[in-house]
Amino acid sequence: MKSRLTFLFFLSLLFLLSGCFEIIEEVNVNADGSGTLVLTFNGNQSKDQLDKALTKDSIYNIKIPKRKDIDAAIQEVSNKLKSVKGISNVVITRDYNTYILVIKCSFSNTTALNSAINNIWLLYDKKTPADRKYFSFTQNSYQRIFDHTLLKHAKAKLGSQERDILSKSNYTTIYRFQTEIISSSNKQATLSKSKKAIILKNNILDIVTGNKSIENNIKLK
Amino acid sequence: MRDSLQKFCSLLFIYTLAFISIIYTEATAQDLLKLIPANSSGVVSMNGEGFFKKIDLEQINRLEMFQDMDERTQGKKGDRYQEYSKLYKAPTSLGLNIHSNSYIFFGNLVDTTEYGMRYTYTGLTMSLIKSSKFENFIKKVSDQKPVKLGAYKFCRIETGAIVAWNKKQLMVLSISGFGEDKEEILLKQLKQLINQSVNESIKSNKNFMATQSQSFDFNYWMNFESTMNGLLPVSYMTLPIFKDLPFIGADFYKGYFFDVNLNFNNGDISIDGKQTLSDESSKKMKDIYGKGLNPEFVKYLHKDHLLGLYSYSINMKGLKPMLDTALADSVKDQINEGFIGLLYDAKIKKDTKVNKLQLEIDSMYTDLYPAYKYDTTAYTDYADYDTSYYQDDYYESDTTAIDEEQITEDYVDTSDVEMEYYEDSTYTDSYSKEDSIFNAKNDRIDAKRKELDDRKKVLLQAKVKELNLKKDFLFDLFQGDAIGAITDYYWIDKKYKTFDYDEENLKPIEVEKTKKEIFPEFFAGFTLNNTVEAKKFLASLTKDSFLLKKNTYYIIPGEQKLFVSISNNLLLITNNEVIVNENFKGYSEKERISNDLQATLLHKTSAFHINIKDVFAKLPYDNMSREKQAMYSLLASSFGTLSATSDPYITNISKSDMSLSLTNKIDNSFYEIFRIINEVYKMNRNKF
Repeated sequence: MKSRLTFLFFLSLLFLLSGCFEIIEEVNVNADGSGTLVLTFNGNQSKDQLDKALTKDSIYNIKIPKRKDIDAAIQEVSNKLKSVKGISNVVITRDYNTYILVIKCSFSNTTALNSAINNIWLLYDKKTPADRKYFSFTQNSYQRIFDHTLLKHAKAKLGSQERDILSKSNYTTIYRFQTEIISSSNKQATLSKSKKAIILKNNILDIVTGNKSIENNIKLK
Repeated sequence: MRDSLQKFCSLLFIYTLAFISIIYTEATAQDLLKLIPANSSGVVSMNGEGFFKKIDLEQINRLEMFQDMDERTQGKKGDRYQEYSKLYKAPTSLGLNIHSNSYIFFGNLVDTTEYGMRYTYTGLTMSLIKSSKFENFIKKVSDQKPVKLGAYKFCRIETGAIVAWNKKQLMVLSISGFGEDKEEILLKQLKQLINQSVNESIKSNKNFMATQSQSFDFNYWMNFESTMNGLLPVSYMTLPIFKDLPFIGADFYKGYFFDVNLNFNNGDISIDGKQTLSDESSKKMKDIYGKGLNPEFVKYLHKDHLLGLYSYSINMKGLKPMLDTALADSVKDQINEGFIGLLYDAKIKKDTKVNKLQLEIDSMYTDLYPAYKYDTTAYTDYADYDTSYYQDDYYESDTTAIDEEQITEDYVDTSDVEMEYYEDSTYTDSYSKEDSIFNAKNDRIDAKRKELDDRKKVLLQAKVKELNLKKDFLFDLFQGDAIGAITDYYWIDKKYKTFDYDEENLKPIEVEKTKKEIFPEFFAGFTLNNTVEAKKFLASLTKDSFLLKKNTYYIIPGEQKLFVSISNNLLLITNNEVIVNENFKGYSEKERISNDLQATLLHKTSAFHINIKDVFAKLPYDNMSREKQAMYSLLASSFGTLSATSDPYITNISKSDMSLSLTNKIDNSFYEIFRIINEVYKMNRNKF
């Protein structure tokens, strides 16, 4: 339950309070397929609503966790990540003044990264398959895989308020490589000046409803 | 949303259908009324003749949302679609009398078994032009054959619903509630209704029959005594606790009726209501209801700055003795006492810093103030104190001394987990064998980590004092009339942190941006009974800086400042700096709200008014999505005002009215409401 809160606490609060947020998924990939993942949740735009919510026990009959519960849940995620072979340097920082949460870790290869994400999903949904792939890397190709069925439950539960919030919230993916990018399958993605990094920004409603995808096949030099 | 809209539309169609009748003779309506029992808790009367002169069913059917609904009905009903669709396309072809009064009624049933189950049921009565056509329709859509019941035939149309008809009229009955015998009960009720005498019918109720001579498209009539009997068994209502409560006791509801007339005019929808109380009950209400608002308040309402208001006038002197004598202590405390704050003394076993944020004690919804900073004796004239103790555990630090990365499956013995899986069936409830074993192993690892966790828990104890305003002080303070108004919007630029990305490598750079945050500008006022005590109370709150004194008024400190003032015998609270800067003198007569609205506030016991057009037109459209802009523009251009008022009790009758004005004065408001809903539907149709 606590783990579930880790992921959903801020989101559910924002849904309750009509806030908005952004999530940034950054992956720096080395030539051998190892790298670092930085996942940033930024709820600063809804700071006032979150400040108020945290002083309450419940809103609309939904229990609001205490900070110590949130901290315990973050600790559980940290433990889970650390227990995955090939994952190291796990650092989770959270700032209750800014409501910016950052999860950082190093991975030895995309298999370890996939395993780490699956472990986190399992905290939330124990029925989710443990072998799902999110990233794949070969020498000249990097793939961000996105299975839309993961979000089908979320889509089914969307009310008009949730839609409004998600339409104002963004999910950004940034991938950086040691070599230049030749092409990418997702035409909405934009290359950096150095051509070694690529960014894709979508509003979350489009992702949840399936209108847009974060899937991308990136060919490297 | 689509489902809700569909249900809403279906419901409206049912009502519309119920309308679709013409009064051939007065006797037809009288026959229908004879089928409605005298103990009905409510009756909806529908004036089909008047209503169908105003609306065009074909025009409504052409709206996209109904065309979509028709398409979905086609998919659902298959071969039976043609017959079903006649219900809303050509009801006369089914033999329904489309220019007649028809009625929907509600009632309660108690079965006669030892359990005495309670059911609620709904009935519909409508006259027929040609019963053979209706019978053909029923035969085509029902799987059951009609059965004879005297002059009537009846047929089950779905679980818990039957339809019965004779040559002149039909009756539909449906029952809700649990129990296997409910259809048997429903059939018994049907037999009783078609055989009941005039005295057993609603025709014997003079209050109801008086409603039938009024002018309406729809009338809803409610019998409170029957309704309350349906909510609670009669035996409960005779218990002393209910009997003694003035608003809940069974006696209060004897002879208590309420009816409203709903009329769809061109350009507005009006709802006129009337409450009728017994002489005994109306005496009690007369003591409580005030005669209107203090005229001084209108000074603070500007004609161009009013989004909405609510005013009421009750007599505190009339209310207090009633609450004192009739209500149980626990209820009385809830109503009378105003909760104003919590002070705490924290005691910690360990030498750990404790601040307000750490003191998160369950069930506390208000700000906490460290007791040592305040003089808790300052408010003894106005407040009572309740002292209680709370305690909670905290970890001293966030991290454990153990390296949790090492506590893995290799470290913890999980070799017997698979065996445990076979022995313990709880693992097999909802997960696969693999998942169950995986979870069991993780549980074992987590337990080991907890065992090695060397973090120390800190016990935090706090003595908390609750300050509650004294009830006698509160009742003495106010006369009982008050007003709250949202006068306008204002917005401030709010800074927030987000990320931009450098062009070279897309590295996130934290940046500060601004957004507009919208707040309501408001004004609230209360007439004081004891101005001297009120002034003393406000002054006492400055001692601990709960209020800050400035010139002749006070400021409630905070991010958004609130201003409080006592002007003559008025307590005024606002965040409108124009009112404050004018030293609470108010607006000139020319600037004030219209004379009509002023008169309403001054002579009605309660008044509610929303300027729907301005509520949506005055919003800042700059930062809105196009969809929202379109939606708000539609609402701003379609609606005028919504107002409601209620009169004081002068006799044993109190009248109330509500009116919704629409911008379109050409089409009938019934169609116009559907047109607006249809526009909203079209805006959102692609999202589904």
